[in-house]
Amino acid sequence: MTAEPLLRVTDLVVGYGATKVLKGVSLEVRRGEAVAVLGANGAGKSTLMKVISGLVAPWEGTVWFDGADVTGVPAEERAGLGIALVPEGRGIFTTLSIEENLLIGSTSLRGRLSRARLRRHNDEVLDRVYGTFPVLAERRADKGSNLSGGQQQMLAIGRALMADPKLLVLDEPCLGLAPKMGNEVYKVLRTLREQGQSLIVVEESSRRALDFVDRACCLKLGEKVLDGDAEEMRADELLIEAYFGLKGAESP
Amino acid sequence: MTAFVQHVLDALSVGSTYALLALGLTLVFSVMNLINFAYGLLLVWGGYGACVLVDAGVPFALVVPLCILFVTVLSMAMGRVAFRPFIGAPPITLLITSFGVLLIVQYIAILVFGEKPRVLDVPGFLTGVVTTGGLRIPVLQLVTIASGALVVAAFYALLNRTAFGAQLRAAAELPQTARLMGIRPDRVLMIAFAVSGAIAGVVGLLWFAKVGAVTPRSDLEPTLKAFIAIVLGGLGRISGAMLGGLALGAIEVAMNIVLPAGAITYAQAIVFAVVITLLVLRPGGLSGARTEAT
Repeated sequence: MTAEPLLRVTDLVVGYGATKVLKGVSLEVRRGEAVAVLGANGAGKSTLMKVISGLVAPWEGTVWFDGADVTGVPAEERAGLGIALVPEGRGIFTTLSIEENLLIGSTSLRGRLSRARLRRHNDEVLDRVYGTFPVLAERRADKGSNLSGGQQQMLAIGRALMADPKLLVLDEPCLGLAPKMGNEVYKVLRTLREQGQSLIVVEESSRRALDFVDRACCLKLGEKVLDGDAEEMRADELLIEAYFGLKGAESP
Repeated sequence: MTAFVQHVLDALSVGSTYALLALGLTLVFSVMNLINFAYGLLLVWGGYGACVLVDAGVPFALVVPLCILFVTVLSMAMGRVAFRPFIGAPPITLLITSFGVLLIVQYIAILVFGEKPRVLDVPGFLTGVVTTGGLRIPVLQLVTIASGALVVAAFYALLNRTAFGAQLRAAAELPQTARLMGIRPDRVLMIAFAVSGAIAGVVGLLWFAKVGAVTPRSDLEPTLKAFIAIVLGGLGRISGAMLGGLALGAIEVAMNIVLPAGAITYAQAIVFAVVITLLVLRPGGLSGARTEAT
């Protein structure tokens, strides 16, 4: 790890219309680090992820990524800088085949790599993704809409990996999934983390996320109410109960 | 039997023109939710372009690609200047902009060419008739059907066999998620306008070769027919646009056959009544889905 964080979000104030959703939130992710952003529905987690990925512009505050101020950089260019968001609800293109969904994940590399290099890159990463998610390989010609929720989540993660992102952002990756499938998702995330992938995972209230990350922060009504080392948090059942309402139990 | 085949060819010819019109209009709608009222004006300018080139003695074999290129560039200019700044704007803003563009482009045509019809002289072979097996088929009708098939095949290849096609489908389905993949909405829009313009160029030539003359207000009928076709087929769906166009052509030809001589004057009104009845029965259009997927 180097001293310079991969992502530094400072004093973000964001809103929609007259409603302020984030009220001065700051966040850092170091290289190779996994960070959980936790909080109840309406806390502003997804908005924070949209600001990080460039879909929503902040009213105030800055977003620095990989040593550069990217606050004014739109989402389509931020993807090329190395930020990949797996959106809430997965965002699978149902009119595209599974392989087309995956290949479209590397669109941000077009223009950066020569055609031949892009083709080689796509072949290599596709092999890797298919190796991680064999079900996608078996059904590569199927439409994305034909997959189950869990398989769609695998596809969404695989698609995000196609651009070799420096930072992988997952917004509620287990939302709507059976607990068993949620465990599968975390198994994959654990492997990615072991490979050195920097990532942010957003969860409403999951002990599983806390068990998985290096650091966690908690948002409440648009403000950061807690930020710290995940290991310390895991050890403090009272704190977990107070902030996350988990009572130490597993939450799907 | 001969009469039936003749009617089918008529329906295919009229329907493929409408299908192409609807295709061009739907393409831009699907990526921007823009109902471009100025679309018919692209045909008109294509028609004028053909008139000017033919009158200047340019061989017709050159007039065709030049006109298609001209309308493609015009469509892209329209998209760049008038619509690209409004990406993500509310539909009502796009609607008003579209009306504004219609008026401006129409009045420029009036200023340049005047209100009088300008005759488009097409080569003699296009006005000929092929007689075979008791059928009398106008050459222009065959050219129209063949062009329709060719454009649709090329369009489908572009949409389903190229990376751009996948990007376009992705951007049409989930525009925000598409941006997360690095797909630039402005680039997708410009290419949609280019393809839509190329289609308008082809249809413009076919339309005015059939009608014989261009006026600055010749846009009304093709625009109206394209709207009916896309609504009939199912708004926003590419396959629906083509189905709607072919269905509209079939309904028009059928009305001309079954209506008694005295009622032919009301054929267009009756066609509208049939279309409205179909939409009452299938509000989502002919292409099937009763609720939109996105």
